[in-house]
Amino acid sequence: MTIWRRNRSWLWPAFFIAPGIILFGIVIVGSSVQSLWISFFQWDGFDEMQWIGLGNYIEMLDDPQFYISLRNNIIWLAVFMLAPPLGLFFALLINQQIRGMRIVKSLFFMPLVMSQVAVGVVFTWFYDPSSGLLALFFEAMGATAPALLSDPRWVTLAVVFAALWPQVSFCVILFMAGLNNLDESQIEAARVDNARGWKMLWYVILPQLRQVNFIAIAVTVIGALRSFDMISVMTSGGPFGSSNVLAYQMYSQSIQAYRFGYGAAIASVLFAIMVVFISWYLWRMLRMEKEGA
Amino acid sequence: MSNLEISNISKCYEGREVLKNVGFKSSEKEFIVVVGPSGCGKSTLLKTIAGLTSVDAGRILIGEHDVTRSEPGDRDIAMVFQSYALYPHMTVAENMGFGLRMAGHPKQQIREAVEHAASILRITDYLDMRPKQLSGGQRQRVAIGRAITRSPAVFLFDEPLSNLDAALRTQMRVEIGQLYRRLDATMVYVTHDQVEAMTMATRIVLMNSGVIEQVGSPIELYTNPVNRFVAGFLGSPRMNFIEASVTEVNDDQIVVALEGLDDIRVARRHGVGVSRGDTVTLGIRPEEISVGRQRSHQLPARVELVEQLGREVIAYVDTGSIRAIESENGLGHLTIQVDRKSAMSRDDDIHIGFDAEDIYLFNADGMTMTPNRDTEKSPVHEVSEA
Ligand SMILES: Nc1ncnc2c1ncn2[C@@H]1O[C@H](COP(=O)(O)OP(=O)(O)O)[C@@H](O)[C@H]1O
Ligand SMILES: [Mg+2]
Repeated sequence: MTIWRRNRSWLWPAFFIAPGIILFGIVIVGSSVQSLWISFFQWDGFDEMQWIGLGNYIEMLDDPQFYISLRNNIIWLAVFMLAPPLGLFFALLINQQIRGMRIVKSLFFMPLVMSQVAVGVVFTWFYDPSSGLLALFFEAMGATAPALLSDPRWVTLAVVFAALWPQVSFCVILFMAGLNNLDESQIEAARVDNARGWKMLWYVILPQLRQVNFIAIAVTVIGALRSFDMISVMTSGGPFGSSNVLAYQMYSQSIQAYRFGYGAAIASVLFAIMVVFISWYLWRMLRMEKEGA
Repeated sequence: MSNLEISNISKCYEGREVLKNVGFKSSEKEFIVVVGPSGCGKSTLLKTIAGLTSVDAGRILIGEHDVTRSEPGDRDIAMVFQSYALYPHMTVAENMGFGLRMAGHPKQQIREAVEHAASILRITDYLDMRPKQLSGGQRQRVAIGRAITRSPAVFLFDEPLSNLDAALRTQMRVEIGQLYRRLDATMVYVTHDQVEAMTMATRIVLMNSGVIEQVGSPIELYTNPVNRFVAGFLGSPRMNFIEASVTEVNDDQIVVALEGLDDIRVARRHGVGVSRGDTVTLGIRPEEISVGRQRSHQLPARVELVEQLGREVIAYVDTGSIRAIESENGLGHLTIQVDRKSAMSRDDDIHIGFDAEDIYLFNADGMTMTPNRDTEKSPVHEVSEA
C-alpha cells in the first residue's frame, strides 16, 4: 500500500499511457524496423530470405518505374497543396450567413462519410469515355470525350483530381472548426480599427487560424505521400505503371510480384521522405507549444 | 467640440427588445457612465454606438455626422473591450498602431502616435513585447493605449476594469479619470458597478431592462432618484425599503404610518397622485439612520450583525415590527451605517432613529412621491482625485 502511495504520482500516468505505448511499439515501431530489415534481403515471402545488402536499393536507382512513381508522388503533393487554400476559401464562403448554406455544408460533409474506395468508383464512372457524365458533357459540346484513365499523360491528374475532393472537404471541416473558434472581440476590435475585407482576413483572421492551417497542410502532405486506395480502385497504377506512386508500387511489388525485399526497400525510401515532413511537423508543433499559441 | 447624440434607439434580438427608445445627448466633453444590472443592454448600447451592432430604429450622431449606418472604422470612435481584445500575434506597438496603419498613415507618424500614447500610459518599456507576456493590468493599459493612439472623438469602454483585482481597479479608475481630463474627447463608459459610476461620471445614464431610468450627475441621481429602482441601485449599502400605508393626504403632505412609530409626515411632490389607504414604499438610506434618541422618529432594535469597515460601521438590525423588503441579507433587517466610533456588537439592544425629511416615498409603480431636495446637503461628496 505504501509503495503505491509513494509512487502514485507517476504510476497512474504510466498505467494509462502503457496501452498506447505498447500498441505503438508493436504496430508502428516494430514493423517499421522489421520492414527496414527485410529491405536488405531478397525474399518471395515463402522461401529462405537471402541477404543482398543494399542490392534492392541499387536496383531501385536503375528502375524507371521508381522514378515514375516518385514523379507521380510529387504531382500528388503539388496538386494536393491546393486543398488547404481551397478549403479555407470554401469554409469562409460557407461561414457567411446566407440562406441555403446548410445544403452546401452537407455537400462538403458527404465525401468524408464515404469511403475513399466509393469515391474512386464514382469518379471512374464519371470519367468513363462511353457513358460517364464527362462523356455526356463532351457530347453535348459536340466533342469526343478523352479516355482520361487510359491516357498516360492524363491519368495521374485525373486520379489526383478525384482524390482532391475529399481532401478539400477535410480542410473545409478543419477551417470551419477554426472559424467557429475565432475570438469575436478581436474581430470587433479590428472593425473599430478599420480593418476590412482582405486586411481583416490577412491581419486578424488568418493569424488566428495559424494552428489549423498548419494541421491542414501537414495532413495534406501526408495524405499525398501515402496515396494508395484511389489508385488501387481507379487504375491499379496503369496504364503501364504511368499512374503508379511509391505506396502502390510497394504494394504491387510485395503482394503481386512476391518481391518482399524490393517492396520493403521502396517502403523504406517512402518512410525516409515522410520523416522529413514529420520532423518539420513536430518541430513546428513544439515551437508553437513553447510560444503557448 | 466633441458631440454625441443618440436618439430613440431600439434593438431587437430574436423578437426580444433589448433596447427600447434609448437616447441621450452630450454637446460638450463629458464622462458618461452607463450603469445598470447585468443583462440590461449596456453592452448592446455601446456596440450600437460603435457600429458593431446595427439598430432597428433611431439615430446616432457623432461630431455632427449621422453615423447610424456607418462602419465602425468610419465613426471616429475607439473602443476598449472587457477582454482587452488585443491581437496576440502583434507586439504592443503593433497593436497600438494597427488602427492608424489600417487608415494608411505613414510609418513615422504611427510611431510618434504610439510612443506618445505609451508615454501617457507608462508602457514604453513594453512596446516590443507580446500581449501574452504582460499582466492583466498592463494589457488593460495597452488596450487603452490602442484607443488613445487613434485620438478619436468618442471613447467607448465596456466594463474595462472588471477583470482586474480590487487594488488595481481603484488605481485604474483614477488613471482613466486623469486620462479623461487630459484628452479632448467624450467617454462613454459601461459598467455594472455603481461605485465606478458614482466616482467617475460627470453624468450617469442608469439603465434597467433596455430602458433608461434616469440621466444626471451622480449626486443628482443619488439625492433625487426618480423611482425606486434608481434609489436602490445607487449607494452601497443599499437604501432600506419598508412597506407602509398612507393614512392621510393633503396638498403638500403625505402621512404614512409604521407600526410602533409616530405618524411620519413627508412633503408631497407636486402633482403626484396618492390617496388614503394606498400602500407605498418608504425608503431611507443607511447613513440617514442614526443610533440614539435624538431624531424625530425612533424605535428600539437589536443588532444582528456588525461589519466593521474601519472608517465606518455597517450594522444589520432587527426592529421586530418593521421589516425591510429586498433587504441586503434577505431577513428583513434594516441596514444602518454609522461612524466607527459607535461601539456596537452583536445582540446589543439599541435605539435607532431618523428624521422624516430624509424619507423617500415611492408609489405602487415605484415612482418617487417626495419632492427633489437640495443636492448640496447630501452626505456624498465628489470623490477627490488622487
Ligand atoms: N448577439 C445577441 N443575440 C441575442 N441576444 C443577445 C445578443 N447580445 C445580447 N443579447 C441579449 O441582450 C440582453 C442585453 O445584453 P447586454 O447588452 O450584453 O447586457 P449587459 O452588457 O448590460 O450585461 C441580454 O439579455 C442578452 O442575452
Ligand atoms: Mg455587458
